[in-house]
Amino acid sequence: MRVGLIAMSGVRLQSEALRELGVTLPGFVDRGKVIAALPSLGLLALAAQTPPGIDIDYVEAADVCSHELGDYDLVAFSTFTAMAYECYELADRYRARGVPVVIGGLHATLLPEEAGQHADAVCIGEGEPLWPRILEDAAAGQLRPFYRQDEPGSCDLAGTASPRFDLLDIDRYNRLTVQTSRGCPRDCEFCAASRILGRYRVKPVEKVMREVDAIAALWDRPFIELADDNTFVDRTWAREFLREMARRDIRWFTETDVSIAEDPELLDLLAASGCQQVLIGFESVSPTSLDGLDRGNWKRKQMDGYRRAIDAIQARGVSVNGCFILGLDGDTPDTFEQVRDFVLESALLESQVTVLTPFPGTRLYHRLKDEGRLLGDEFWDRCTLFDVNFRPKGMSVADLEQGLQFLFSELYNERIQARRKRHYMDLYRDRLGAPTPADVTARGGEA
Amino acid sequence: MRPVPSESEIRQLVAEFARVPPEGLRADVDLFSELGIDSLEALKLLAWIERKYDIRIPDHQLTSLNTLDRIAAFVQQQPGPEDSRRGGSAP
Repeated sequence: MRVGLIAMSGVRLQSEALRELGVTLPGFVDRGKVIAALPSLGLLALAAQTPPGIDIDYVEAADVCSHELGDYDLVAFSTFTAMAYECYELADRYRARGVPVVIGGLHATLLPEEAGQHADAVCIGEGEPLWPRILEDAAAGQLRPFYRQDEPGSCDLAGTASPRFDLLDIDRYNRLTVQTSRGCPRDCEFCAASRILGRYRVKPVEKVMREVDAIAALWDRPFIELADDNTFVDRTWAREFLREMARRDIRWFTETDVSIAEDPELLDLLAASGCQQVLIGFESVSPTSLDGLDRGNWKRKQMDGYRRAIDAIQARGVSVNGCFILGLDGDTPDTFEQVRDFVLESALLESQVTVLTPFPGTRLYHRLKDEGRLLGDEFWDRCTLFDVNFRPKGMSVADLEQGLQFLFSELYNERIQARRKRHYMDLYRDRLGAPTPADVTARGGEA
Repeated sequence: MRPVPSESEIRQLVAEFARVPPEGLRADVDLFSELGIDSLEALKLLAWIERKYDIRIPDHQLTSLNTLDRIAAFVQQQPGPEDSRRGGSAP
């Protein structure tokens, strides 16, 4: 049997105005390129759960679209919401040729009936425990329409096989992904991922390091992006992990929450571990906008310490990519300038501004639907984080769209990029200390 | 005239960041697109150079110092610390 695993990778954007603006802005283009070039870790994990004797191809959807569909006995897709329609179109083409199709991933898990209209089987929940059964049934020509995980989030991360990084054409990627945890305890209203795959769990450090080492064996200069929602929730695990990373010459990136800044020892370990950047969801700089965002109002309580946190992390040479959500219920037309001022004054090396997005299945989606504020029932190709799909409370849709364009222009232009780089260098240089007598002598000056 | 840092000394520093043997580092190779130093490492390298030679790189040159020969030429053209104190480059 020959199986094609088809990855729906990349960044999507429907707004023509933002698309035209975005391509001219270096800060936006750089991060877009990185995201666009990340492989689908979910499919590589399925490949690892595939029994010997079954041939596996890992293919990027863009290659399938522009070339041949390939000669497969089964194809499997993993898709996010923004790419769902593209996935369905491609799935329909395979099925028209008589090739059975399986669709999984977050979107199919949330809307299995919808995905089932374009698939012979839908994988609902975490794929690892379901995949061997799907393959058995496919080989016997007896695929069932739905394969559902008994209990969401019950997959034991210690027991899964390491993803098949060896299937990738490494030269095509500038980062490879490793997952160290699933879920996030913060439970933000807008988050599609943190609760759907069950309770928060970490992968044992020893197993994580096996995956890291597998990548290092394939790649001379590895750059790893942790595919986590919130990496350092478990501080005991985090210290063990960071000490192990420090023994290796590997650069890496991850997502965390702002609480790490309160732990100087952890920050020192982070800096020594090769971590280049952490992405933190600050979400807003307005207490009104943060109010009620997560169940415990945790982010609201952290806000006053945002600037100290950024300085504490960046001073150690680990840059911060700060994320802000626009269109929150407390936001007004003044919000855009407030976010700009905060980003510039705090000198985050990088920032990411997106609009509030009601992904299907989230508490946010259901609330906005109940309040009659969604701009349609189905807008999956607009769930890009940059396209507006709802009526904001404190401004018009047009205000929100124009505000996002304003922030793109203000934050991602070359002059501002250079200024932020300079601030980061100054922080890092301060951390290094003054030149030593030996340094000055080396230049020919007097000690 | 005061002595300036040698190219081989700067080569050693850049090679350390690029994780390549100093002798294998071509002077005109693009450190970022060809040797894979990412943008953050590039900033750290430039911060190291500023600190080591007690100089300051103008913001508009942060992206253009992308080869060993450009970095070496820039460092070698800078006034020393004492010259700076007399009104040379910005602190």
